[in-house]
Amino acid sequence: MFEMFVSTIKDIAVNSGFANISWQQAVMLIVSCVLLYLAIVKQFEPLLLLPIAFGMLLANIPVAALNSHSEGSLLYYLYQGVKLGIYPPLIFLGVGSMTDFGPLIANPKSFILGAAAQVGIFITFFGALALGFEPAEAGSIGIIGGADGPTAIFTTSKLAPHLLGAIAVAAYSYMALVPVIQPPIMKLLTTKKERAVVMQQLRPVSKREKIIFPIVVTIIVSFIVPDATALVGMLMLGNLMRECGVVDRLTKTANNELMNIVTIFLGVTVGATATAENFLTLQTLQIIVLGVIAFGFGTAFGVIFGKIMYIATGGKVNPLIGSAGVSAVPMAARVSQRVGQQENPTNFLLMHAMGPNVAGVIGSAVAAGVLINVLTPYVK
Amino acid sequence: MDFAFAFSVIFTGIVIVFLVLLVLIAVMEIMGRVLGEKPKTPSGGSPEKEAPKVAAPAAPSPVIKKMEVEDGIGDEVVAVISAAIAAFTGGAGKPVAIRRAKSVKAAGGRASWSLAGLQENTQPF
Repeated sequence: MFEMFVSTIKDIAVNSGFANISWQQAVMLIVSCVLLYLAIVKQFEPLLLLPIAFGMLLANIPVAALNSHSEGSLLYYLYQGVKLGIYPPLIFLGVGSMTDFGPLIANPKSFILGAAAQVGIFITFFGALALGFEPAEAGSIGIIGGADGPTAIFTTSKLAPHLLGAIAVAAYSYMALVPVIQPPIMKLLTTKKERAVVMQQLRPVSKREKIIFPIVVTIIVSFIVPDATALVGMLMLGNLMRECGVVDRLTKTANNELMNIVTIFLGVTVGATATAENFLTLQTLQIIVLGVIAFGFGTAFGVIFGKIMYIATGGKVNPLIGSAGVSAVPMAARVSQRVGQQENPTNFLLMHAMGPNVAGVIGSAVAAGVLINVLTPYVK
Repeated sequence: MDFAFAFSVIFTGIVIVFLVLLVLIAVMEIMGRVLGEKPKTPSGGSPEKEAPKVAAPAAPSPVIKKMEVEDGIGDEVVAVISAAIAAFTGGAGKPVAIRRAKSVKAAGGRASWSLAGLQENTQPF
């Protein structure tokens, strides 16, 4: 009896995580704890960073092999929603049902700023190619500059699924850091006078316009870039549900229960792709650096186009709203508001910045569609 | 690195993103002109023609009957109710006068909020 007891204890000890942990797994456990700290204490995009970090923790527990690639495990099955491109469009459904496109409809020229901020995606694509990434990987890294988590995950799941963990962590971390990354670039590229411009009040938008908008956008975008249909279509379906006012119950489900459930599944399974062998690489470091470059260029081009609009309109447009063209809704618009108020405390740019901000969501979905279309033949 | 490939992807990508969003701008501008809310003028004429050349003598201000407020309803509550009614009527069209503020007896033993909640949840079935 005593022998059996000893051998059982011995077996448990030999098969335990303590006996089987590699130093890489230990590092990953520390990284996941740091991310949990950032999510809980610093509140960096906690709704997504927390499940991502915990998924990372689960994936790196020795022996258990609870990662998104270990066939038969819980997370493997949940991960199929990412792999098959199901979760990101469902999140877009919820985002659409929470978004008011009124400021964009009132001032459609905001679309220009939403497009300009996507230039960062393509510059980063070039940078990633220069560092030796494959074209499909470079496209996935560039999309971090769109500052849109679901779009980044959707594109990466199609083009470079092995980079999902690093790209998701970079995208969400930088989105949380928008208030830190953007203001210095905005101030560097604008003068005091430009930052103090007070913009005219937006015209009221009729309910009919708000209802027709999602239908028209879906048709136009999907006709030109069919690969963006899943993202834009679901975004606009959610918005139509919100604006038409006859399916309140569906709207509530889309932006509460459904969105929350999908967010948990998406976060945990994307985090669980970040196993030590996938994450602790030079590539991850390069992705983190390229991600911040993508954000910086996106912000800079938005502001530069804002300046062009400032000149073209004879000083009626405040260039600060250009930086909101990177999606990161509504954080980027809040940053425009805050930087504007530092120059003129009576200035309220928030609603003006919401136009480029929501245009950026559509713009990054279009850019994702283009990248998927062009780079799919290069997927290995 | 294949520069020709890189530049062709970058060029194509930027052009398509701008093209799609420029098409959307054009469509939104047209939609705004056709369906957008136009600023209201009192009788449809141009503001210049409507403007009186000489300032009219000030009309005597109408006598406003004081609002009856039931005991126990504070000024803040009255202000909130007024604001809610203003928001509900959109602040446009006819001016609204609130004549009286009094508490309503609970119908069927249920408070109004409870009834509203019940109605919202059961109405579709």
